[in-house]
This record gives sequence, structure tokens and C-alpha cells, in this order.
Amino acid sequence: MARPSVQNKRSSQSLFTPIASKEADLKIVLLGESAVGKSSLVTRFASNAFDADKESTIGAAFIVKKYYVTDPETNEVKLINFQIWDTAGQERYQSLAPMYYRNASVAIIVFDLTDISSLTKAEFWIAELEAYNREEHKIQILLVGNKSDLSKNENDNQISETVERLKVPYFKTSAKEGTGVDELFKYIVDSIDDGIFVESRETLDLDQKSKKSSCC
Amino acid sequence: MSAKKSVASSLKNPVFSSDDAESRALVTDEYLGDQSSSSVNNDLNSILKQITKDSTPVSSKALKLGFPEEKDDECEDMQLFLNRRKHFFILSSAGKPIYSMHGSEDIIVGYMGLIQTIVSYFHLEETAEAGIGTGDLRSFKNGDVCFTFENRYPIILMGVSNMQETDVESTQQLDFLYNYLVTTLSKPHINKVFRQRESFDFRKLLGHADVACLNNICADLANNSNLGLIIGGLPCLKVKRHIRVKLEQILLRYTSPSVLYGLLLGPEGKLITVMRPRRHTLHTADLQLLFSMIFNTNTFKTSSTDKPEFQVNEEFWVPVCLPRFNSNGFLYAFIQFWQLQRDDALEKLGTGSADQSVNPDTTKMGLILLSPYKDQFYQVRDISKRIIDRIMESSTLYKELYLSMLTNTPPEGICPLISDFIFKSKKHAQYFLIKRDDDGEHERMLRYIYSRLHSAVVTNTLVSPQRSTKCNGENILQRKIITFDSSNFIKYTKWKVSSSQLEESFNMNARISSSPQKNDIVTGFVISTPSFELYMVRKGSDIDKKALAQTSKKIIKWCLKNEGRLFVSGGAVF
Repeated sequence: MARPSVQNKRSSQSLFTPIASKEADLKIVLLGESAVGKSSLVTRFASNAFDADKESTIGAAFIVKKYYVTDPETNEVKLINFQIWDTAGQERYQSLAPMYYRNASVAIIVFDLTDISSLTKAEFWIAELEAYNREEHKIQILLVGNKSDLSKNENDNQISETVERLKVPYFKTSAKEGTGVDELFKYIVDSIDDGIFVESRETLDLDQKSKKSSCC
Repeated sequence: MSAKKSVASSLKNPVFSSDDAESRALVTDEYLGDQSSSSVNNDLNSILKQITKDSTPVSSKALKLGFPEEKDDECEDMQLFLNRRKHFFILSSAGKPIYSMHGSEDIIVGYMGLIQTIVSYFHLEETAEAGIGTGDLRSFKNGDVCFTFENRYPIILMGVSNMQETDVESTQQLDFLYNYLVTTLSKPHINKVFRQRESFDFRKLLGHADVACLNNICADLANNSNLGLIIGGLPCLKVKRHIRVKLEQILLRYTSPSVLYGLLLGPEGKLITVMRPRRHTLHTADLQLLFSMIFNTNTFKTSSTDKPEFQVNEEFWVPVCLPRFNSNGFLYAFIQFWQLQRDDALEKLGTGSADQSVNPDTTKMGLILLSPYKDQFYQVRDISKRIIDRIMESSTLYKELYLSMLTNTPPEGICPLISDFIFKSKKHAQYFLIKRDDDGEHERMLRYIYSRLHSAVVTNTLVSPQRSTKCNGENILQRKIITFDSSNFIKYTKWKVSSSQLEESFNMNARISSSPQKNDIVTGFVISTPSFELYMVRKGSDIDKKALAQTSKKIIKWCLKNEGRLFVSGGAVF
């Protein structure tokens, strides 16, 4: 069964949203064969929901998600503005892909654990991105096997061979049940270079507001 | 009962039977009268007077009023397949299946081969006789069942209809389906894949969303549920004229080489306004295709709540080919929806907090910006953000838009006798609709009546080709006269609701309603002139012809007077 949508955004934003001191934009692109669950992964991450009847993506969808992390030691709150490109998997949209990954920091390459042929497409994307990667701008590549709830580990040998050969971080997820999704995004957050964080606009706004109120 | 009959008729009529054995008609009606009048050179008053003078001919012909819903299926039952009232087949010129509304793979494969053989036979015959290949088979009839063909090499389409449609309508439907494929893939792409390999399996190119769209378009055509496709126009949101002007000013403030066209939409794809360059118009057919793509799949929706609704947290970037604009290339559509019903904004207006019971999509707006450049998403997104901010910042705009989405009634006294009407402006290819009830059965009845009335207009137009006249809305108002000539047409039809089946279904569902009741009279009325068409439906007690005429006059006057509110004229032109 699909998990119910857990959050009422309005109330959670107004009551619990912390004020971040630093923030960073992070561009992510999802690529992979059609019907492997790219949109479902994004939906699980962005709204913690699952939509069983979702039809295939047409073109691409752009999702912005604010994500707050608190440093356990310093208690400093950091804001990450995820900008996610969820692309359509069908062949006919392939020529549009460079536009989506050109400025991306992270590429999540998704395949279907129950359909081993989708791994070939994943390899294709990894090869394309590696050929594109330059010293000055490197896209971090992650491989995700989705639909772990349906998988009976039947393709495990072939998958682990491929993963070893490709030398990319590999995650198993189930967008439907939500397993592995947090780990995937936690990994992405953890590997963000501290250097890209800037002073948060939220603190700036707050400063301005307090200045305004103090002068009245 | 009908099963036996349908076996008999399918024997007589081996390909498709005309009887629907699976489900019975919801309402069977007695045909009361049908009257048409054309070639009248007179003003509105006298043409309306004429129908009141004539006696109503009564015919005993029975009509089915309202059909059971027909949806796509992959059913293996041959008998069910043959009993469908509507079929659409799409195949490659090599005879490979691309799409069929009904039937399992096993069933359709044989028919695809048959269709291909028939089409190529006539193609060859004609080519041999005339020396050129222009005389393809267009349509033929077997009893009440009409077969229509469209040969658009490398794609063939065939429609089968048992819905008393005209050839023109059936051909338009096939044309729409063909153009839908062009919209998603573009003509060169379609040609390319078949040039590389004639036996290419085209279905590989289509995703779930494309098939879902085709299914929904076909279901719309089989159930008359897309009024825009039936009467040929786009629905419009009624908004005060100065609000539209203000919106257009906002759109014009953000013109950029990145954006070719802009469309502001209300709920259900109702047009609010458009932005376009002076040298290009927007074709109604292109917009219908674009809207079909957006409103017929759940790709742009989220169902994380109970019911699928338009996604407001995502922006979309979709390549579309608009065949009338340019069938050889793509435009890139930036699509964004947003919710007007927001507590903070409503509080500011003092209209109270959001009503949670309302379907959230009824208060959403949509912005579509079409760009010629595939890599300018961020530029276009920026423009979209500014436009939406400007709209939401202005409390006048916000309030007026919000209220016009929630209320859609003409002023009191305009049409007390009529429950539903459509007023279509031919000049704008847009229509305005008044719907009093959302009851399913009532709606099905309406769709049926509107499509029948439209058929009558189409047939009439074919008989007497339109002459252009100077008849334009403002002149009419000033002179209070509408000049009629051979292109004017009036028809009204009455049905008596007299079915025992109806009573049964009525009681079962325990609806208090607006659904037709026994002994109700349903009157359909259409008046078509060179500048507009008015479709009206009256249900309940019989209506006096004089009252009918007066009502139609009132509605026409009101619509013409409020033209600026009802329709988008021109839009924001840069």
C-alpha cells in the first residue's frame, strides 16, 4: 500500500521551518529507461508520497525542494535548495538530455531491479556522462536500482558485476515503500562540498525585517 | 433480448454490429418533433416567429437519448468487440498495429491487415485509373454503421461509428487523432522511422502517457464528452473586460525572444487570454491538441491526495509540435499551474478562508509559455515567475479571477426557461457555456443533444455553403436586427422521456434530480448564423414555442452585449 501523504506543507512550513544560516543550490538530474520509477523517486523525496497510477513523464518536470539539515555538533542549520530535473525515459526525448544534465551537480541514473534490460540503458547514460565530465565541472554519478519491493534478487549477480565494473556508488530503493530513498538523499547531502554554501537569504531577509522594525 | 438481436445483426453485418449488446440505453425516447428552417431572409424576430407559427410535426421514430459510457479496453471477447458503437484503428501503411481503442492484440491484428488491404486496394485502383494517387477510399456505410478512412502515408487511420455521425465529423475525428501523433512526434520524426524500416513497430515510440491520451481522446469522441471537439472551439472563462486587458498588459511587459506564445488558462482549460506575435495567429486546432495532451493524462497531475489534481509544485518543459503552426518542428512548452485558493490571499481580500470541499482544480490557473528554443527553460521560467507574481500581487486581479472561477451564471432573468446553453462565437472560435448541473446523467443527455444539434448544423452547412455577410456583433446590437440569409439555420428537436428503464435507474440511484423524469420533455434548439451559434437545452415541461424564441433572443442579446467578457479577442499582441 502507498503511504499516505504525511505532511501538510503549510503548517509544517510556518510552525517548524528553521531559519538557516547558510544555503546552497543543488542541481540534480534523473536519467534512465522509461518506467523504472524516476518520477516516483522524486515524488517520494519531494512529497513523501507514491502515485501508483502515474503515467509516463512527457518531456521533463522541474521540481524545487527546500531541504534543511542540522549539523549535530554545531546545531547550525543549513538549507539546500534542490532543483531536480525529472526526465522522460523514452528514446524520443534523448536528444534533450544534455540540456538537463549540463549544469547538474548530481546525476541519479535509475534502473528497474526486476527488468535487467533497463541496466543497459543505465550503462549508456553513465558512459555519456563520463564522456561529458570535465576537470572543471564534474557531475557526480549515482546508480539506483528501484522497485526493491518487487525484486526477488534474481538479477543480483549481474548487477553487482556491473556495479563493480562501473565504479559508481550504488543504492537499492523502493519508491513505493519508501525504503532506501532517505539514504540516497542523505548520501547526496553528505557529499556536498562545503564551499558551495553561501550566507542564507533567509537570514538576510530576517536582518532586513528586524532593521525595518527597529527604525520605526 | 438484445443479445439475440445482436447476433442476428452481426451475421447480417459481419464486421461490426450496430447493436450494443453489452449495455442498454439509459433512456429511450420517443421522437416528438424535428423542424428545421434555413434559407430565410429575415431578421431574428421573424425567423423566430416562424417556428412559433409552424405546427410541430410528430414522428414515431424512437431515439436513444444518451449512451452508456464507452471506454477503451483490451477485451478478448469478440462479440463485445463487434458490438462497440465506436472504434478507432491506427496502423502503419505496412499494416502493423499502432493503436486500437478496443480489443486484444489477437483480435486487432487481423483487422489491421484487413484495413491495410482495403486501403491499398483502393489506392492502387484509383492510381491506375486516374494516373495519380489522390482518390483514396474515404468512407462507406453498412446499415447504420459508418466506416471512415484516412490514408496519411506512412499512417492509416480508420474509424467505425454507430452514432449517426456525418462523414465530415468522422473524418475530423480521424484527423484529430492523426494530428495528435504529429503533436507528440512531429512529421519528420514519423517519416524518418518508417523510411528507415517500413515494418517499424511504431508502438515502441509511444509511452504510457501517449496511449493514455489516445484512449482518452477516443473515449471523448465516443461519448461526446469534449464539447470543444464537438462544436469546434475553445472554452472561455467569463472575466470582466478590464481584467483581461490588465492581464494582457502584464503579459506584454515580459515579452522576450525566448517566448513565442503565451496562454493563460482557467480551470478545465478555459482560456483567459493569450499572448502572440503580430505575425502569427494561434490555431484553434493546435490549441485543442495541446490541451488534449495536458488535460488527458495524469502526467501533469498528482494523486498524493485522494483525487488526481494538477501538480502545483512542479514545472514542466514539454516539446510539442503544433501541426498548423509548423508540422516539421517542435516548440517547447513551459507549463505551470498554481492555486488561487490560498488562505493568506483570501484573508487579505476578506472573503473568508478557503472552502476545502471544492475540487482544488476549479480554482487553479495555468500558464503555458511556448518557446522556439529547447535550451531556454530557465529564461522562460523566470518570465513565468514574474507574470504569476504580478497577477497574484494585484488584489483586483486576484479577486476577480477567483470569483469568476467560482461563479458562472448569467444575470437573473436572462434564461429562466433554459437549463443549459452554449454560445459559440465563430469569429473567435471560442464558446461560452452555462451548465446548471453536474449530475452525470444530465450531462450525458446534454452531450448527446449538443452533438445532434451540431450534426444538424454541419449537414446544413454542407447543403447550403456559407456566404460571407457583414453580420457582426456590434452592428446587430445597434440595429437590433440580425440579417438572415442562406447561411442561417434554426433547428429544434423535442424528445419525450418515456422510459421505464429510466425510472428504474432513477430509483436505484435515489437521485433527486435534474435527470429527466418520466413524461419530461427535452427540447434541443440551435440557431446558427455567420457570426455565432447558440445551442440551448430545455428539460421539464413542454415549452411554448414563443417562449423558446424569446428566450433565445434574450440569450443572444446578452452574449453579444457581453462579448468582451465572454471571449478573448486578439489577446496580447506584440
